[in-house]
Amino acid sequence: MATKSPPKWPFRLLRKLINPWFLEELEGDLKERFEDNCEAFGSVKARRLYILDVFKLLRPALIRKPGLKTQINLIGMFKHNILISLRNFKRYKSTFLINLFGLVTGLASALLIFLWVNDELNMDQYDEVDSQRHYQVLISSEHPNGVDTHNYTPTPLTAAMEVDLPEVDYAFQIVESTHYNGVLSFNNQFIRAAPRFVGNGYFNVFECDFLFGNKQGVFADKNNIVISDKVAKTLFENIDEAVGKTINLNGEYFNGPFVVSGVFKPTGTGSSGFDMLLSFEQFLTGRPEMNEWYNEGPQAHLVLKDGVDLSDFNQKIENYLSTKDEHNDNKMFVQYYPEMYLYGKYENGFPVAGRMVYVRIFSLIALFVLLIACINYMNLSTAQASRRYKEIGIKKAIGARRNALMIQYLGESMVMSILALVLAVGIVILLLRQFNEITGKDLSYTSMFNLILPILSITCVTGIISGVYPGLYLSNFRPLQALKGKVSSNAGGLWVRKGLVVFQFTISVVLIFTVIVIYKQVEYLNKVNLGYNQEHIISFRQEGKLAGDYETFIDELKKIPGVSNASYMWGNLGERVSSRYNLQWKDQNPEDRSTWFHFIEGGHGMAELMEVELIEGRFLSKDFVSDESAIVINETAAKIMGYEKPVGEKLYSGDMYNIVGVVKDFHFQGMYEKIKPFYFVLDSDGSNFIVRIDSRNQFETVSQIEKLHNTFNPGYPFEFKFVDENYQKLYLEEERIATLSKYFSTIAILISCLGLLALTAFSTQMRIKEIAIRKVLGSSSFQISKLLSRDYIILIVVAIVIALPLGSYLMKNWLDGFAYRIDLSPIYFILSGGLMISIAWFTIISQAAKSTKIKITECLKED
Amino acid sequence: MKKTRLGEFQELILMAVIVLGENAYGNEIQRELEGRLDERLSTGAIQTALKRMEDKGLVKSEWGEATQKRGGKRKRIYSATPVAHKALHEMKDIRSQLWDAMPKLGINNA
Repeated sequence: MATKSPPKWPFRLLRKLINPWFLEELEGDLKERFEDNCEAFGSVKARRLYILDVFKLLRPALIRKPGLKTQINLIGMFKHNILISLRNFKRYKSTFLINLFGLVTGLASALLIFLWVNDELNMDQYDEVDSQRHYQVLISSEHPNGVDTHNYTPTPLTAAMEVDLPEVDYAFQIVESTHYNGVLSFNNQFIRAAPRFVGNGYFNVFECDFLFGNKQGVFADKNNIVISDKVAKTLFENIDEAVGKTINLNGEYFNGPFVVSGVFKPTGTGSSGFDMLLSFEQFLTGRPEMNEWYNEGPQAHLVLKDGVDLSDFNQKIENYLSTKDEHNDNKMFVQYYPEMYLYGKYENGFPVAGRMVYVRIFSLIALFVLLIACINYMNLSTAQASRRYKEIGIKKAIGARRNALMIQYLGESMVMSILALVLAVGIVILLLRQFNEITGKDLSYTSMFNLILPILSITCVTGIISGVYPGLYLSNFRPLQALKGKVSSNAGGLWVRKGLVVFQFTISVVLIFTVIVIYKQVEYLNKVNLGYNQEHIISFRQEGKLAGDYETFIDELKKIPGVSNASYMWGNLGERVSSRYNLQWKDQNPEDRSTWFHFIEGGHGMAELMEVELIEGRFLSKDFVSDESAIVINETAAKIMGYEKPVGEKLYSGDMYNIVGVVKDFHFQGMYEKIKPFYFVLDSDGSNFIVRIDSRNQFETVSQIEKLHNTFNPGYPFEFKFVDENYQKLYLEEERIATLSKYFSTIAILISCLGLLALTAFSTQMRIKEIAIRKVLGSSSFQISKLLSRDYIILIVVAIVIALPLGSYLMKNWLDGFAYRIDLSPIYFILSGGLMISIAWFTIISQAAKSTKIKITECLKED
Repeated sequence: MKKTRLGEFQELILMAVIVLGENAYGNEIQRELEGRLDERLSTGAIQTALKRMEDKGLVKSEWGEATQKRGGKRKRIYSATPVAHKALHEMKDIRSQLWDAMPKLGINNA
């Protein structure tokens, strides 16, 4: 005969659906009926009837009422739970404070990072009519060192694309370059201003917050100008007077009266800063020579028609430039404008994550710091479960269901995280100013209120993550054992706790390692010998009267005590220097025609002023009239040209240059890039004065320079920069990352160690009798400390073993972005591992040492 | 009539509960009715009626014994309340009054 038991699955399936009050009766009835049916019809039919009967139980009167549970006094339970939570907080103050501190700092870090990330993600996201169809044209040119991608395009490009490509709805141009900076003036008030020349259609995609004037009519006349509120405030007593006034612009290319047609307030979500808007028509009036296919300058912005497939379009326009200019074999593509801020790096002509990398890194850091705080909470609550045996035992004995207990513990962690949120918001408000200084942002805490929903959900998730495991663990006790106070220490729970500690410290070690490496790299970038002395050099603009007539000014400059040398150049040191290709020389390898040469073009004495090292020949000198067509090259240039003795050889670039000297290689640009071929050449004009001053009395010297500048060039504000600051600006992002990661890793380590402290304190307390007995038997304090710290030290070692390969992998990737970088020497590994071990060891020992001072009799009195 | 009205099926079950007395649990009620009506009933139908009547206060129930055959699950013994007795009597009275009022013609002709 077949077995005589009914199949189990129908009830298993429906048990959750059927009203629990009826379940026992119904199961019994059906089982009995099954037995009867077996005798009457045999087991096969009985089983079939049984299954049918079970499913026929699904009737409204028999299934679970959704509101059944709420019949329990909900408000009473809630009040009770809150009360118990608060009592627990009060009774175990140190645990409570450690948990709270961890969650508050974790949440505060997460909030700060969240504000920053949110700001980054909102950069260049505009909400104008056509913003969603806004693309920018980029051009990639190939040269032996790789692919260079830039955003300056030939001026006729947009008009041609509008005609040739049906996908383009309309197109316009933008010109933005420090080249065109000028000074605005009105009634003896002056202010330096950066322009942005914009074509028709600009306001359809870019947001512009007009305080006065409006988008439609501001460029009715090409001599109209729109100024920022800051400029308006400087020039006019009252900014409502601005519109309609005629102001004067003094710049290299654009001079003359302009009529103010609007005043705008910078949006704060735009990635580029400018102080005035001018029409693109105006730009072409000032620089008519730009209107040629071979001159690249303006940015080209397109608004594509709806439904254009980007990759198809990019394929179509790849070789578009060669159809307009047969010599131009550059590749062209467009990128979605709102994405350009975060994906603004180009590798082999494709956009890749630029700033997005930092957004990701910091989101991860925020997540980890928060996770470490949650883990503290989990570990402490589960480790100290024994304190709550009786509570749990009694609750279970009087019929508390497991999920009611779960809800209680989740509620407790929720109360905790909401409390932490309130404090964290306070901390964020206090620290926001410092945070802004480090990140170079202008975040305001009011934006927190716009983000209230995500912030609340972060808090809830924190509460849930913290509370779920303790809830599961604590509510699983058997009531009888719990009441006896003897819950066999569950091996699984111990392993989870150990795993969590390892996880916490792995993150901490990775962070320590990262901070060390970033710091070393930034230090290397700042301290490494650039090959020239960039300290104590100041630069300021050569403009106004000084633009053409500078000889006497430089002579006067040199007479100021404290000025050791003075000259001028195009561009500026530490920023970009000029470059060109298509140079020729004797016995040239044809491929080298396209090699880019960089050059500093300016006054006499530039090389001497920079203190670069001469290895052959001589510097350019006033004593040789022929030096107007002479150059001094660097070693890399000599190598590329293939000359053993380059002095006396010639370089052709249309003009002919005599090579009169060779200097040692030096870093004229940032250290992201390898040193390129380079030369010094003379020019009768420049854009910046470069002055080397003595290290002493710099303030005095600079104020004398200012006085001199103001007598020579009235009406132009004297604004100077230190060249080494320019240079440091190249690594501004790295510096910021270094500072931020330093702070956040300190927080992570602090929270982890606090957790460790509490765990050791607790486990020491649990073993107090063992310690007392050991002391009676003659153990020394040191032996006892060793005993207590061993378990945890092993965990930390495991964490270090996991963390170091992980950290070295991450940092290797980061370092690969630099042309000149430090190597990951073993010392960094030893340092970060050793640091972690010693911090952890001190934490543990501080607790263990306390326990060895216990009074033996006190501890052994009981039992 | 503001009193609780009984459905036909409920009325049958209620009477079975009274007839079975001490032994009135789900399966026994079902067997009793299946025997008398000569058709298969589903446990779900019987139980639904019982639970509804319990809600209305027509029957009450208490735990009974558990047997091996029932897999160790207890029976639930139902008994009719005074309200139910009253309701049954009222139904019977209404019925007999109606029977009395029925014209005899039809039957005689048949």
